[in-house]
Amino acid sequence: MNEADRRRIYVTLICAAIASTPLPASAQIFSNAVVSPAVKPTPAEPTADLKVFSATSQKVKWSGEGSNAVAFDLCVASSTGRFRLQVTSQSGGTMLGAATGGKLGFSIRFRDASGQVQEKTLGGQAVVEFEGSSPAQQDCSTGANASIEIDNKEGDMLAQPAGDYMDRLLLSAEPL
Amino acid sequence: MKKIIALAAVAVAIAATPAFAAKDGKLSKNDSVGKVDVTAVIPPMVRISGLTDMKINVTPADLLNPYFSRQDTETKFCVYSNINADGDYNITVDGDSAAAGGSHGPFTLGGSGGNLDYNVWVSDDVNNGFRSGGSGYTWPGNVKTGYKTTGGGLARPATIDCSDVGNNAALHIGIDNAAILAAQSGKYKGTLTVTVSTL
Repeated sequence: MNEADRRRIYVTLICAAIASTPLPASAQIFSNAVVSPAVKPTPAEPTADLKVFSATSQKVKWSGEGSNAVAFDLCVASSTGRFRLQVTSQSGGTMLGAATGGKLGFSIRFRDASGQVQEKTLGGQAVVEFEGSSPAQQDCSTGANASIEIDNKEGDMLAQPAGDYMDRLLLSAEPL
Repeated sequence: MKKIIALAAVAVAIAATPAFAAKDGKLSKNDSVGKVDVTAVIPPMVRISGLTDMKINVTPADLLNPYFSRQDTETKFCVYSNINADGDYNITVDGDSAAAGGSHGPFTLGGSGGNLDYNVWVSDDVNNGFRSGGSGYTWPGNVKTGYKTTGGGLARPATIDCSDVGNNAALHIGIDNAAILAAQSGKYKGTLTVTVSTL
């Protein structure tokens, strides 16, 4: 038997096997198939990418009037084009006064790659989530495409004694 | 043999793909995590607001009242301070004085008939313009220390105009009857400048 004959026979056998297998039989087909691991048709796993482009530590002195905002340039991208960004406050949703022990509330504005802006006030809750999109980027190899802005309201600032108030935010992106 | 395997793989892929997605329904996820530190600095701040002009209209009956040897009035105002949880501050009242320089002499009003001395108290207790034990007495340029926005038992204001707790300080003036009787009739005017400052 030459090479061409062998190929024909094998293809015929495979087709016969598919036709005779009762449905639903996807698992059987998959498990019985003669498939090399190297070519197994596994769908690509969705991935998300997140990078902080600004200095990851920023300190802003309030002018004494208006709100107090500090922004971080980010890249958040997903291979699916959609992602969920989870922001976790390590101080339980407030900025803690180092010397005063006071708790300063804040809100987070997130702008995604599509330009959509969402704002959420933590109000003592440690975790907030945003859903966003990165229509033109699957990863963060090309630079910043988003931002988060941490904002303290004037009333909250006036209510606290003078001093430094700090929080560490963990940003986590997952594909949707 | 490699070609055979390749063909088999294509055939299986065609048959299996829809069932694979529907059955498993879960895609592996990779989290990507970053962190940022943010620090807001609230600077020490004090502010005075809400002062109003004071006027004493003296009548003969006032001067004949045996229970009062002085004609008084006061204004209540707001001090905002975020220096600490008690809202501490220093306060100074300045104004004209005919007393010798460096003395603790009284303030002085000026009028067409000459000068008229008066005394000033400043208090962090809005319900006691003289402050506890009369400790609010002051003179031109004197820096009064240890004042608190919570001195009268109010909460420290969280607004710069005390709109949340109300006025929390008082400025009190008094003109002795003897000085009034010694002065010529007429209007006597003066200006007080009240300064609050951080510690």
